[in-house]
Amino acid sequence: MAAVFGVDVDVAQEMITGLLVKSLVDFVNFRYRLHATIRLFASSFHDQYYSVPSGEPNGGPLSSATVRCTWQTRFVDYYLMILRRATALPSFQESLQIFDTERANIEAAINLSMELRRYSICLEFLKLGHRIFHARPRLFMVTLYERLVDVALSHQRNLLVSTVDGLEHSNRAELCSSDELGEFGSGGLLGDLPFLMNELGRAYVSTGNISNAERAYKNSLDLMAAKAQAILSSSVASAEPPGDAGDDPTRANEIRNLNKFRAACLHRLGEVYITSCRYSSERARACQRLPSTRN
Amino acid sequence: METTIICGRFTEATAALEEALQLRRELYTSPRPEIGATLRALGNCAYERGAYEEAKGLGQQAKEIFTELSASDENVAECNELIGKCLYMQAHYSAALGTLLVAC
Repeated sequence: MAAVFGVDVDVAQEMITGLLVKSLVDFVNFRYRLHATIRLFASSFHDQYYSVPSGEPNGGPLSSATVRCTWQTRFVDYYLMILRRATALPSFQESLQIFDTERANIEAAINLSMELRRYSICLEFLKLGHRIFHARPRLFMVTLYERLVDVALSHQRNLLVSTVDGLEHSNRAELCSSDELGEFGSGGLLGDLPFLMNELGRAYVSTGNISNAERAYKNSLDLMAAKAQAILSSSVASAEPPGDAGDDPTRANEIRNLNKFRAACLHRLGEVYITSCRYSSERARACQRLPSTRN
Repeated sequence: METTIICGRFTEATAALEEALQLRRELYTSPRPEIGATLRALGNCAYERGAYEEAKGLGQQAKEIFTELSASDENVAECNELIGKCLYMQAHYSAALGTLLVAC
């Protein structure tokens, strides 16, 4: 609470004690059981309080949007830190334990980062926690990856449309704010589209949607091929031998990482094919066992 | 017709896994769990299409890698399970039983 609202620990302690006395919240195992409910309540209370224009009696000192954005941002950052700590633990079981305790808040933080359009933060959550997320019920992950992929693809389409409209690259850059370039640039959503597609494929596999998984993996492989081509082209542009990352260690490392990722994706695609073979075999056997309904 | 579809998927699976294996062998010079995992997946693919001898060989290769990395790894048990299943399908029941018991 202290981190989220930016107050001293003592003040937060006092506020929580007051809240505990006046509410039905039970303090169980060093956690407030109705934490998520209280967050929603605080959010609606905040709207009510800040609906009075700033400066007027009973009004807040800052605009509603500013305060809301501030606490939401702090909330997101705080739970990103929690996830970072959890994933840094040497034991995966311990990481899972922390995730399970904080799951509702971490999921809320991921959803908030989407709402705030802080896609790079959202990606950070996914990259940090992908091993944990794939070890837990996954419908949430499918929805999340689908949303992120949609955002990335629609942005990519917008860029393509603006190119077709004959806009110069510099003009296009002007169309995007610096924040947007950070969110979508080579280190942002578009740069990580192969990763997102691959993770979407894994999420589909875990929910049994094999055909969608196959499509996602294939898209990921295509995107990786395009990325590798772009890296090699840039090495050609800088007068290095074509088809080679040259002596540039950064580029060579990029290609190596891309190949590691490509191998993992191919492996998963192969497993998807085997799974679909199994489904087909079982279906064929089941069909053979069924009595014919035709006369 | 169903059989044709199944065979098609096995071909695609083998192609994808072989490409993954080749890439991983180029990337890593020493034994790595990633190489073992792909070898085992190739073994599973061979088993599914009924090539038990090939599956057994791939399972054995994967097992050697995993054993070198960690003898008590659950991956070793999964390789033993694959080898045991192949032996069973080839009617080597007593050898299959021995291998599958080790896998348990």
